[in-house]
Amino acid sequence: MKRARLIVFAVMVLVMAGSVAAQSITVGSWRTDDVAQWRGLIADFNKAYPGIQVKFDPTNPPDYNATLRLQLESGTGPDVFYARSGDVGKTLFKDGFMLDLSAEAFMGKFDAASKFFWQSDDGRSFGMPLFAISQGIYYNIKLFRDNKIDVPKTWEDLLAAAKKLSSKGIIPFANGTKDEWDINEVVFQTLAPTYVGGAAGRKALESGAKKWNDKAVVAVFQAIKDLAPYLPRGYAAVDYNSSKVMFQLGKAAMMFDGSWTIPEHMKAAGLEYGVFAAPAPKGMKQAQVFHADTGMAINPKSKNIAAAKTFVAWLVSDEGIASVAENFTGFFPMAKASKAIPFSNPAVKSFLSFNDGRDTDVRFSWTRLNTGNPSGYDLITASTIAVLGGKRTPQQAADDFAAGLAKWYTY
Amino acid sequence: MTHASDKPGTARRSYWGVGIYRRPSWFLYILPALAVYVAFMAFPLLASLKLSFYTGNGFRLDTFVGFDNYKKLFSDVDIAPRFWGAFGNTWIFFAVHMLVQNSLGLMFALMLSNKRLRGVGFFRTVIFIPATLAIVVTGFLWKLMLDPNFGPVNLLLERIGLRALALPWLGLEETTLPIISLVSSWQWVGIPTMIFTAALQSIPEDYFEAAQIDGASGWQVIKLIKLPILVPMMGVVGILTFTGNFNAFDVVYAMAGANGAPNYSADILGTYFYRTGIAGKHPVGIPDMGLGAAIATITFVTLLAGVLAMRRLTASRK
Repeated sequence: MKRARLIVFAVMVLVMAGSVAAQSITVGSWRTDDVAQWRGLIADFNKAYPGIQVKFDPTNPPDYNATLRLQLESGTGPDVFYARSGDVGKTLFKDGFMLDLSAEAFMGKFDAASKFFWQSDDGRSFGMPLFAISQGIYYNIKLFRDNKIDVPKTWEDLLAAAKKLSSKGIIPFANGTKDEWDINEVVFQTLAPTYVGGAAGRKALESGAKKWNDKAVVAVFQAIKDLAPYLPRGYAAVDYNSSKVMFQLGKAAMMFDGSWTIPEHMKAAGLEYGVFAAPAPKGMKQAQVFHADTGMAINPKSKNIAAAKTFVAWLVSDEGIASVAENFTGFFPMAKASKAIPFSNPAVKSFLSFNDGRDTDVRFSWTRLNTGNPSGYDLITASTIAVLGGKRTPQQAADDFAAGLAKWYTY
Repeated sequence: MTHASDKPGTARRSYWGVGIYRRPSWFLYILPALAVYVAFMAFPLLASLKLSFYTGNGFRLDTFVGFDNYKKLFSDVDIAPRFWGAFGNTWIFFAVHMLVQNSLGLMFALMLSNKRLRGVGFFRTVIFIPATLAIVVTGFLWKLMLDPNFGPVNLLLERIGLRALALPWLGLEETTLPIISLVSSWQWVGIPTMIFTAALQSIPEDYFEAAQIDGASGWQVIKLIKLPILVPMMGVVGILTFTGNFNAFDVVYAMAGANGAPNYSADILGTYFYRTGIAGKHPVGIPDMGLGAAIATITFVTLLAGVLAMRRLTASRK
């Protein structure tokens, strides 16, 4: 009897030891810049769950989708990983590389609009919404003050301010086109929601109610054309990093960019900066990009699905949300409860205030246009650059865009 | 043609005795190299050749499609312009290297072999230093130098009154590829210089003495002694440049990104292959490995044909 009890005890100890040792999960990500942020987040998580070890294992951003796919197919994928919203995420889910999270309790912490971007066409959730990002125009407060410029309220004000700065030898906008993605994602797609009429307008285009070369799309390219004279000299050779440096050094007064750049600007010595929403032309309603950027997916082949679920659920607990908000400046937690977070960084607060009373939407191309050959994304890049260079008129650019999509897009 | 059995001492052994003893022995010597070659070169090469006939979902290529991938590359409305663009650009990239890098290499070698030149060691080091630096470093350095707003190149041009020439060098479709080719030539000019210098050093001193006695001018020495001896080396340098350029990727990636921006004007086979077969295109980033393998195969065939042609050219000169 005593011996039997001893055996039972020994087995229990072994099982517990085994389960403790197995409580280790890896997080895959495309954010190599966020190692320090993750260290903070994991430390907070371990206060609540000391038994689960979390390892943050990011991949070089341009290679993330391909590397992740390869890892998942060969069975070496991370337990938990960043999930792209829209098309790219849907494909991975369809191929069985993401756990169906629809029935998980933690999904109840999100409203339908937030969940939507990590859902398959039949409404199953493959990713828990983690971060959204916002986009707008950063400005140099000192340069605005010295030149007696107020924060522009309308597109016309913005162009007038740009003209004034330009005449004083200051570069109005730091953005360039050398890296291509930034002129598309942070300039075109920051402007697009206002001109196409927010999410409803985007859906009208996607469903065929409006044509892809509708006057609303032409208007976006017209706005791009308006900016052309106010980009840096030789903007075609200016890449994203040079743009940021130009803005941080005070050579350029404004820059279209995303909320993720706040931490970098905070480190820039002597830079006094603010941010405002890209204004609508007079008489038009402004719509704001609030892009569903990062979801959290769980690998169905993970050996620690329970631990993975515990971790993902913790991310949207009250402590989790607070920790995400504190560690990831410029990224916005998406749970309903996060609306109550008292952010202290003024730029973060400004970005969030852009959503007040405005229609918000994800980036224009993210729902239907990033795939396809030629992809809508590539067509936007090519047309935007052609308009800036004066090689295409806004109408021609929109026609090119529509003609390219006509090759593969199905309603 | 000496047969093993012709040698004294082995003549009396039976043919089979010699054969059994000797045949495996030469085979054993090359076996390690052969095994490594087969495992790491021949097998992947054939596997990639096979992949070029397949397509599939993600990284699982399980559908045989015959020559479809090749047909797409050669004639698809959206894919063919990218492929032919990259193919043509690679030839331009190669032409600039032949004209600039190898001509300069030859000139430098002839100058360095001039006995009256002082500080040969210093010049040799200066010419060779760029070749020892990582392309990420030199690419970044030149990007800064050519920056349209703060770059010293354009500041200098403005200072000497050539503001009209202060172009956004890496932003124009016309200039990006030539500039990148020149940067790459600048980086690697030390290699042909070194090869030509080594060849020049192998020329016996008597030739020059004889030329001196005959009263040959410096130019005659170059034309009649040095250049003829360098011809086979030019073939070697040509082949090295050709293979290097058709496999090139890093310098374009560092200076113009994976797309060879602007508007694919600097896209070469290396970047096109990377984008298609390895990384996939931003923002989706899922590669089409079958199509990528087809690009790799075409690159291989081009290299093979080019190298054979050049060997024939230089061999006939002998």
